[in-house]
Amino acid sequence: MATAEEPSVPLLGDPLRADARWDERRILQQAKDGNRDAFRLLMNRHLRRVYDVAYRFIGDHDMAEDITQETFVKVHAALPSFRGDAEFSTWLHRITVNIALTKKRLEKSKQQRHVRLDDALDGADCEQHEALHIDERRAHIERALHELPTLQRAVVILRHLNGLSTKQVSDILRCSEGTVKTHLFRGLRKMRSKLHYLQEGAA
Amino acid sequence: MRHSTIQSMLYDFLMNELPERDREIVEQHLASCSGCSRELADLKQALQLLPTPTEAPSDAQNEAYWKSLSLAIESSIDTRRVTQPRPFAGLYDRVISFFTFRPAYGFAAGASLAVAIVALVLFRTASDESPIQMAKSSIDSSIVLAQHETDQRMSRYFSKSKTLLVGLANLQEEESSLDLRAEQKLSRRLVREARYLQQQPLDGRSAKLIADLQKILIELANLEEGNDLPNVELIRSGIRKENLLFKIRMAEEAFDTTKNHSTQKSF
Ligand SMILES: [Zn+2]
Repeated sequence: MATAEEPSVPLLGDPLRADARWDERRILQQAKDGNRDAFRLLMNRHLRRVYDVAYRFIGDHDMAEDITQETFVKVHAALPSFRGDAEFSTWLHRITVNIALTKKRLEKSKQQRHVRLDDALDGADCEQHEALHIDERRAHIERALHELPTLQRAVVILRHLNGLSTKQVSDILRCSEGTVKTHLFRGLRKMRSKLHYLQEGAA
Repeated sequence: MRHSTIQSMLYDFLMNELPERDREIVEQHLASCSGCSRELADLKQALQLLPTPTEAPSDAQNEAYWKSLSLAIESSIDTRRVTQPRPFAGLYDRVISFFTFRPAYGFAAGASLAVAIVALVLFRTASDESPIQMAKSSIDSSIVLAQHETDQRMSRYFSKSKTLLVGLANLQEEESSLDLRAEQKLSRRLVREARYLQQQPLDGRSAKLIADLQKILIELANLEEGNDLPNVELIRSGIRKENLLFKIRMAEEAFDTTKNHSTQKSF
């Protein structure tokens, strides 16, 4: 196929295939230069990860979707000024986390309403008791996670749910690794004490 | 070594990220200290509580979802480009202003997609004016005009519906008193318009879309006075769940192609 109007991404292959060679630095440069195909590749490459981070921060699909959209719109706008002294994924995570935290703050004020809405919806389908049980457990864990202070929540999510290294987390949040570990430790301990009853029951 | 020093190393110890020397120190301490051992066990349990990274929230969505999300984001980006210089600001404002358009905080991405759609429709509507004038002078002008009238009404109906949905998406939820009277009035008008359109010969997709929109519009029109947010939120989640804004755009593209097609045929 020699029909491409923008031939500047020729050697890529399918980026979503596991074995495809992925030269992020090159793609990044092309995206910075305004190549839409390159930006699309970059976005599709990171779309799910950004959504996962957003979802874990916010615990809601629609909000996570909004955050994902806002993140990439912002990334697109800010890309020309991205200097590359941080890893792209670090930069991307930072933007995601910032947007998610802002949303989260707005969210807090209307939490009451959401709870009421959830209650209303819960009544609708109470047929699957089995599934409900697992979901319930997960909901408790999520709630405990979301009740953690901001930084503790952030480090636990990034480190353990998104599987980033302590170093990466410290880069994203612009703090020392020591600080990350302190918050991890405190956060995990707090979760553990809040969820004591879950483990008692399971054993 | 102090217990607190040991405890500050427990996380790294568990994650196997401790240098060999420190590792030995911790192991030795743990062998003789029940307090720190309990702390370690607690920490381990806390880690077990966390969902494993394998169950990513994104797994719940299918391939088609990511594709449409990716498309939606690109639309958002294009909208920003388009709306910043606002080349057809006049038209845009005229449509927007037929009911109180609420201020968006930031530039909610979902809403901006809808704005993109509205802009698209306007653009097309505007560029359609000349074919109409040409049609006037053509022989079978009455048929073409009738066709055009329906098309234009469809176009207007879609664009107004979208404006309404955008308005809903942009509602400030912090607002304590929700006044949706303008929106409700518009939905009643749109419900009537849809009933007219449903009597016209429609393709399957447009018919389905109008029916879907109709459900939402009727719900909105029927909201009780002093309605509270959960109801509005239910309507909004209905819009999102059905991915309505996106569907409108897709259907509209099909709708637009057939329109061009029929226009071409008649000349
Ligand atoms: Zn000790």
